[in-house]
Amino acid sequence: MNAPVPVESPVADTYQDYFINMGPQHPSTHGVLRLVVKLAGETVLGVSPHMGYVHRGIEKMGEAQTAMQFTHLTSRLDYLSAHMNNWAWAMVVEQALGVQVPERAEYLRVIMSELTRISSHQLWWGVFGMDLGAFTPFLYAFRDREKVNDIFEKTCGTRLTMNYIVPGGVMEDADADFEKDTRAFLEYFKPLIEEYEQLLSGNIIVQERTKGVAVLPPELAKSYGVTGPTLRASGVDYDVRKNHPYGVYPRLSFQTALATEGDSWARYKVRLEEMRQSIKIISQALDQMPKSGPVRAKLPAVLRIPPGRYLSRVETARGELAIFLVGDGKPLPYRVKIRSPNFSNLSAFPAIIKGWRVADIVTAMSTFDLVIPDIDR
Amino acid sequence: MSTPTPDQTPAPPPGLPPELEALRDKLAAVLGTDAVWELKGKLPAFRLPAKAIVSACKTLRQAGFDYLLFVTAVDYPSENRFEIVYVAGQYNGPDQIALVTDIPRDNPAVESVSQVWDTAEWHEREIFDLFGIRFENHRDLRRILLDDTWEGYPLRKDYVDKVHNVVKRPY
Repeated sequence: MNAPVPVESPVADTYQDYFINMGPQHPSTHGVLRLVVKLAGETVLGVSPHMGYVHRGIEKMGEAQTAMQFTHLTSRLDYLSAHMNNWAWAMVVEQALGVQVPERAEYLRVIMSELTRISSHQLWWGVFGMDLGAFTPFLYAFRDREKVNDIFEKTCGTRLTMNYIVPGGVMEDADADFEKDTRAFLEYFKPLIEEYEQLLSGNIIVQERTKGVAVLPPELAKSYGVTGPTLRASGVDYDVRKNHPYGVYPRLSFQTALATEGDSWARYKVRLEEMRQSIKIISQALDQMPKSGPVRAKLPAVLRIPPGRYLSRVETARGELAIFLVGDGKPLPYRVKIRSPNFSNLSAFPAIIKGWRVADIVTAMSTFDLVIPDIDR
Repeated sequence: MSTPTPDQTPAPPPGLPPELEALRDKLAAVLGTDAVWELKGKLPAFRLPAKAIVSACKTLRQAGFDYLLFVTAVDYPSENRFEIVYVAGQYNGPDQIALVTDIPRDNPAVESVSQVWDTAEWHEREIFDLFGIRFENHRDLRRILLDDTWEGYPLRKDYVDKVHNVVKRPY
């Protein structure tokens, strides 16, 4: 039975405390994140995350670039949710300028975002397997993720930093095969989630290492501003797509994936369920999407952000991304603040990992699904 | 609760959506007369004196705003002030509200709200790191993103990057 060791217990005192550095190059951190771990034997007494290794000053750069130019930097925040990041920026600029986005563009945005969510969760699933020492899931995940990337490449020309969703709509209309390709992918991928379940979920080692491990209680999660699948695994029914509907999400019927246990296993199950829900959303959006029409609203040549405060909120694959924009009527934004989901999610991590073992850090952090450039900005 | 006096809350501009009006009335009642409604742009806000911010945050949390999205600062060097912005939302509702407060630029310090929402701890560390604003009664006020040897506060408007020699573009 999995249970944390109380850190005040005599067991913890028997050993002399020592510190180890996990990272910045540790493979399980999936980027450059350093965790200073205080240990007694193998029991974790405390974790102190150190970040900033990929701090690029994106917020400061936002004050020196026009609204259109800055779109390209948002792709580099959470590079696995590039479409959603672009959307958050596009939405805050449209809100400031009062732009109405053409309907076809709204549907393209939803489809692209949900495809991104699937591809992001695929990558997470593969890497989760690898963190636990199973290499096969990684190959399976990348086999399927390639199919999504092919769709992106055909439409946007890129596979990682999309820059497709721009203020006013989308950069270009989707290619002629887009609908056919996407439907073919959905048909292809739907049965494969079951394969994922068979390959990893049923594995007794995976279950033993995740069930009951690193439980995130809902009240703690709320206080730390945790969002996304990590929060929903703790039983809090919060999804920006439902609570603050944007785009054409109100027209699409889907369920938020929920679990109540709050442990690593629950976070794992929630992400698998989210992929199923995304498939549902995409097929509805494809049915409803106008077959032709404009995809980009006409914008003034110089985007002057009117004086005032603006806020956009988007559900990325990891949680809520909010972009706060202050304008002063000049062509350059006065202040850009990016509220990254990973930043807040990571802040809850030290509180829940106390008393667990070193190996549990790896599994728990993997189920938090952190993307470090999004934390550092 | 006392209602705000007319000179503190000017009449809303025509066309204020009814849900914003309801939000304003609801929060004006709990936040008291210190809080002044302010709608510049699209994000509704209340402006408060700096010393009232912790109690206002506590009130806000009790009023159902259990979700602090972020804390951030905006630099206005010409007016010699920093504006601290707290954006709060709800985990089970649609409302969102910002609390803003001004602090002087020459001695920037404000009480920490990390006792109200744990997430404020890291957001305040980030402001401390990038703006050089101190947070009183903070549990662990350390740098968070920049190197320990970094000089200056990059997100201030008057920050000059001598090392990388970034040239401001003419547009």
